[in-house]
Amino acid sequence: MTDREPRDVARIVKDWLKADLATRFPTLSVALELPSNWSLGSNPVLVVEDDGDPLRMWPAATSPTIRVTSWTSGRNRTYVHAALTRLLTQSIPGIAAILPGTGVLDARDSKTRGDLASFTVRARARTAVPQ
Amino acid sequence: MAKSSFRLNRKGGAEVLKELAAPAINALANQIAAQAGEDAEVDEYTTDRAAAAVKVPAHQQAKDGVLTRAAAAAGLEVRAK
Repeated sequence: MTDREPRDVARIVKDWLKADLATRFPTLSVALELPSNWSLGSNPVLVVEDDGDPLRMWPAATSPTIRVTSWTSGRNRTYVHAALTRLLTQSIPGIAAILPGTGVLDARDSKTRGDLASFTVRARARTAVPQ
Repeated sequence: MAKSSFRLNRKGGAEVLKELAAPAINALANQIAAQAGEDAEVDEYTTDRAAAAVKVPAHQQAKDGVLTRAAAAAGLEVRAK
């Protein structure tokens, strides 16, 4: 039995990106889910989600796939390109490593008609004793 | 000291990679596709070994991560080649 638990990697990434990108993109929101009132013409949103973990490193660490997707009015890869570069080149407190996953793909959200740009990274985070 | 010899059985190796591994590879791809939803497609093929691709519509991956989630559920990670 272990007293160590997984860290909420998606939340750590979201909080870090929010602070890191705030100056460069003052109108950008970074969230764990798309605001229910988002529509075409709204400010851009970057959504960070956890796509699951094969648990190959349990209980020492977790290895979730983190997906980052932007909702914009019109095709715009600016935010995901910035986020991808920052995640793969900077050290984030609480996360041991972030490795490349899949490159940026474009799509459209049929519900909001917003343009999507999305990528994934593979995170490694040591489990920790809850504070 | 006796001289040992080793001869690589290329034909046998190819048989393992191409034929014996194929059912397991294809079963895993189909398991991921089933988890990813009805729009997922499996493409089974052979290079120098058995391989399979799972394809999903781009908007389903961007919005809901259907492929990466299905892969994680099967114990795999998705990454660029």
